[in-house]
Amino acid sequence: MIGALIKRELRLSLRRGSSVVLPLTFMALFVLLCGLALGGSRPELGPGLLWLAATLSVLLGLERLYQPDQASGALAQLHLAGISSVSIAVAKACAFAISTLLPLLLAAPLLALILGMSGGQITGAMLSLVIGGPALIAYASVSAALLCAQRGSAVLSVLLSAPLLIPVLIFGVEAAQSYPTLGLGAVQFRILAGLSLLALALGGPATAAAISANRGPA
Amino acid sequence: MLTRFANPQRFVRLASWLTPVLGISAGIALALGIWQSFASPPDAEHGETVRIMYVHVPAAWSAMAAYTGIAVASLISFVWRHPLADIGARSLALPGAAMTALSLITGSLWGKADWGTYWQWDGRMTSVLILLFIYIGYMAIWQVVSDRKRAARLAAITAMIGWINIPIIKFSVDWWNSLHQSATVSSPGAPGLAPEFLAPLMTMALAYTLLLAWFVMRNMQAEVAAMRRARRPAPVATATIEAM
Amino acid sequence: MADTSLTLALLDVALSRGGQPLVGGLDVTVGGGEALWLTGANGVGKTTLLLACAGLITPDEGRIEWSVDGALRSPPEVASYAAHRGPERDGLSLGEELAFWQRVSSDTASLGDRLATVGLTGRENTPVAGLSAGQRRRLSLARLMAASRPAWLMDEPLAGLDARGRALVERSVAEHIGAGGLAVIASHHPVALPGISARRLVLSA
Repeated sequence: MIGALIKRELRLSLRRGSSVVLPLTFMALFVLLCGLALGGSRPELGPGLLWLAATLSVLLGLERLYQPDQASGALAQLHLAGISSVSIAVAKACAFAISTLLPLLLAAPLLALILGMSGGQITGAMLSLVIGGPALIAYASVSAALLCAQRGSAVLSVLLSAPLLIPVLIFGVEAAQSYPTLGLGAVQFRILAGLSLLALALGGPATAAAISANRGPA
Repeated sequence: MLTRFANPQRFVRLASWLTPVLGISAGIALALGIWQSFASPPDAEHGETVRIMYVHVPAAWSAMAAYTGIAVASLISFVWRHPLADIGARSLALPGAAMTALSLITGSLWGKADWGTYWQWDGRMTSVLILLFIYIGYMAIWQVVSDRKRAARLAAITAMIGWINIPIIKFSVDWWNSLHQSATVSSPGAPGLAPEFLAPLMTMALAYTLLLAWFVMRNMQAEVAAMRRARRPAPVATATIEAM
Repeated sequence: MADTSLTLALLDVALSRGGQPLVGGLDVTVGGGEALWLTGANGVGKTTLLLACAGLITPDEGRIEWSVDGALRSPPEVASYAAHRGPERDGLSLGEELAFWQRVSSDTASLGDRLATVGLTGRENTPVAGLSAGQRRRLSLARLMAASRPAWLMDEPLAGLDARGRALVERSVAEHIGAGGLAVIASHHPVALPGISARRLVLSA
């Protein structure tokens, strides 16, 4: 069942095209602008910029996550078909990760080259994005689900998820920076993984509860 | 106790005498605290600016306490769907946010006077700023969601997730700060404080708590009264059933 | 498929929309093999009543109970709801959309069969965005059939349909009820259900 939901989500985002291309373009443009504003290649800022770019691109896609299915009544129909809110939350989060985070991860090494990062730094940044990614997705889905019945609430959903993302951002960057010297064993990676697990444990039920609370017409 | 006061009728009776008592005692405590603040001697290390502490520290405490109150009331509202709990949570948001803003403003004034800078990227200050954003997000949910019951549930989810995250945010910023900030500053904490500083601090803390309680009670009283006044008008349509 | 012992009971139900009270004191029981036709002017509360029967909103007062053989059931167990505007999403094709809902409700019939039943054979690849109002209603009917729930809650099932489409819907509803099912239909147009025991619930201001 979750597989069918994921397939539908992926199909919809691929058809729209913009939902894959736009975050990628945004991320590249952001890194380019940062490079220009900060005076060329700044490898020491690289992990931070990549993390910021990834976070912002994920937040950019929030409105498309639940709002269309809420507006069309598909969420209500899924409920009537006996699909639990948790399954919906899991499927949507997986599809969101595949359609938004995965392309960003693939593009990150190229952007890292623009920033003049070394091989070790690039690997560190990639690994930290992979390990911290679930937390990004989890908190993004919570705020998307909270506001899925509100039109034009993009800024508010960023306001809601940003404070939750601060620890992930901090440890994501710290982990990436410590990778060249300490490798994957760095305590930052362990904390980042812990944050991701906690985010999944909190975000799953919270997203499901928000979907249920938003059921029915406003 | 919970179920006893969850009943709006009992609440109205309780609030009718408790609210003025809280208001009057808050006023007395505040006046006493302000007098004590100025009567206390200047600190050896901080000089006259120590008086900012009497405004700043209790504000930070009550900002945290108010948010914890929101989280607890949200849990009650979410699990048992007590309408009074979500009115309580909502009533705490505005004074809590005001306290947060006050503690940030006084904190940076004190910082300027003492450390020569308005802003320190330390865990405490940064997480209080983030707390302000969490407050704003929480209040915004109440603003944008028009259906009351739905707003209560969504706001409760927001408040609970935020509450669990505050210690983690504090921990993260502390960690970050220990790596990036070489000069750590010390601010006087309450425990080791001499009695002549402790007395005004405690009076002010009590005054803020009473003020917060008075504000919340007054707000809840008004909301309950508004709910009762808004008697549901009679349904306009009637149904008849015909065989075909 | 359906069970004749299915019952929908509205017990002293009061409903509101956006804080505005609509109707109160609704008391009606519908059983398997019966149809209830909801009529009334725009905005009087027909859709709200359907949503309440589907459990998507809670009534202000009273209870709505679904039961089979006297045992209470939750709405998703027994009812499916065809909204006035369906859950279909632009960007999918008709075939993908219907196949998804078939998969979600574990429908045993094939996609081709379902399309044929509602007169949409050969339209699998039509994008949802390109469907007419009538074609959307047919899709909606196919979804109801795929869900295979004994109770059908239908909001304006005849809107936008041509004469053959209307006949299709009426025939399908009659067959469903004939097999022991139940239908609550909000419609401005009379729904002809020959040989079916039907009552009309008129909401009037």
